[in-house]
Amino acid sequence: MLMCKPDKLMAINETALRNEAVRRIRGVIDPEVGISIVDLGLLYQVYMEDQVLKVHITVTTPGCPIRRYIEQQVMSVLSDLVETELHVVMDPPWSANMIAENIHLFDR
Amino acid sequence: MLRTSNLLFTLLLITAGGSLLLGLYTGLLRMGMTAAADLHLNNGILHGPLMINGFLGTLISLERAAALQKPWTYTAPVCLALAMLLLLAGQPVTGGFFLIAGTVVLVCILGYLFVLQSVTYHAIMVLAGLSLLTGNILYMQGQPVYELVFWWVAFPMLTIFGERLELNRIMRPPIKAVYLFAAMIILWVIMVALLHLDKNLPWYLMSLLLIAMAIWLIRYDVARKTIKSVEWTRYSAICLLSGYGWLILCGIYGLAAGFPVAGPSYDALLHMVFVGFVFSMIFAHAAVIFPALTGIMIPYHTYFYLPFGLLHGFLLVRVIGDLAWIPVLQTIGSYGNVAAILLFIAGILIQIMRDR
Repeated sequence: MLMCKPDKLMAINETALRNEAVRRIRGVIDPEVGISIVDLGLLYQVYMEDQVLKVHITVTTPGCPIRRYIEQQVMSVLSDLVETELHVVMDPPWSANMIAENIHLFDR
Repeated sequence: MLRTSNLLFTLLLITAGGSLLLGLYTGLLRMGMTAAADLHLNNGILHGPLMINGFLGTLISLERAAALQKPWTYTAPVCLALAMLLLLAGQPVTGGFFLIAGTVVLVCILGYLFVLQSVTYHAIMVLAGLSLLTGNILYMQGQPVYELVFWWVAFPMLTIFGERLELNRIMRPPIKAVYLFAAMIILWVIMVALLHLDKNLPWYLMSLLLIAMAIWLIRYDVARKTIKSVEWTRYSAICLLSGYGWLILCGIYGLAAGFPVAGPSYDALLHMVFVGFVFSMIFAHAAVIFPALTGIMIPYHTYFYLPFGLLHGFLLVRVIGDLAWIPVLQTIGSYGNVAAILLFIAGILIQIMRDR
């Protein structure tokens, strides 16, 4: 029988939660370009703190009209996972260089 | 994270929607439809202010306010909405005050965005706000609409240009191309200002620049790629590219016809921009903006190509009627455009209800 120390178990659980959160957020699509916000580089950080999932995302510009839409979509996909805090941050500002390198934009 | 109440959002959206419907109604009054006896809408004279300020101004300022989530930014859409209600109630002085106040706050919002991120596309949006302010000041001073209307044209046009430039970063256009686009926009606005002094050379340069800006967009817009996508993304791309096509036609017609004062030329030119371009953009973005402001998704359906086709088809009929001086075609085209917009709205509402 394999045993894990309690703090190691907690680390494994947190990692699994983070991975699941990222997997779900990957399903949030920017409606203007039809690409996942993760692939666009809009997801900055996902981490656990005091048993709360903290998610930092950005939008392409401070006045982005679809900011609320993206916030709602991210919260929606995480709503049944764990208590979540979503923060929209503008530092560092988004740039096209943050788009995932292996993404072939708009391929069918 | 600061949020305004859903009630305020709903009220502002209702006002914007109401302005759109009344704007369409007053547009038909201008085409000769008899006004309902109990609606004192002054033969459609409020058509322009309702569409530009009541609908577009309220909606665009609400979008920015929703993005920034600062309480002071909501003053803009509230003031613009109040302005429309007061103007409709026959209170031009108070209505004018709120119109100017709302526009000033909108310029402040756009200026704040430029301070946050001092980039080309934000500068273009500030120009858009200043253009609206200029047009509204001239309007409240009692200037004839044909003297100021291109300031009103500049507001949605530059707003859209700025947004497309922002989004098109994903395409990594050459920096020189971006600066060229910005230069063309600035020159175009300068020509709008010079129109007050001379209706010839500035007008021809405006028309040429319009064609050039539309070609730039067709060349560099991400819509060239997203047209290969599916559902709303593809639909949006088709709407965008067809809107740019209308700008080119508008520019060509402007070169051929010269500066329009009133009559069919004026009607054709304005509606090529406001219907062919601006409403194409509205159709393109509705599926994104509506959920952003309301939290309610609009499920995609191929039905939406129907109002799209009717919008452009009837606009063509209207413009042919204008160019050939065939009043019945002008009228059919106008009613057809209104029907297309109403069918689009109906489609949104039906899809939302079906989804629930």
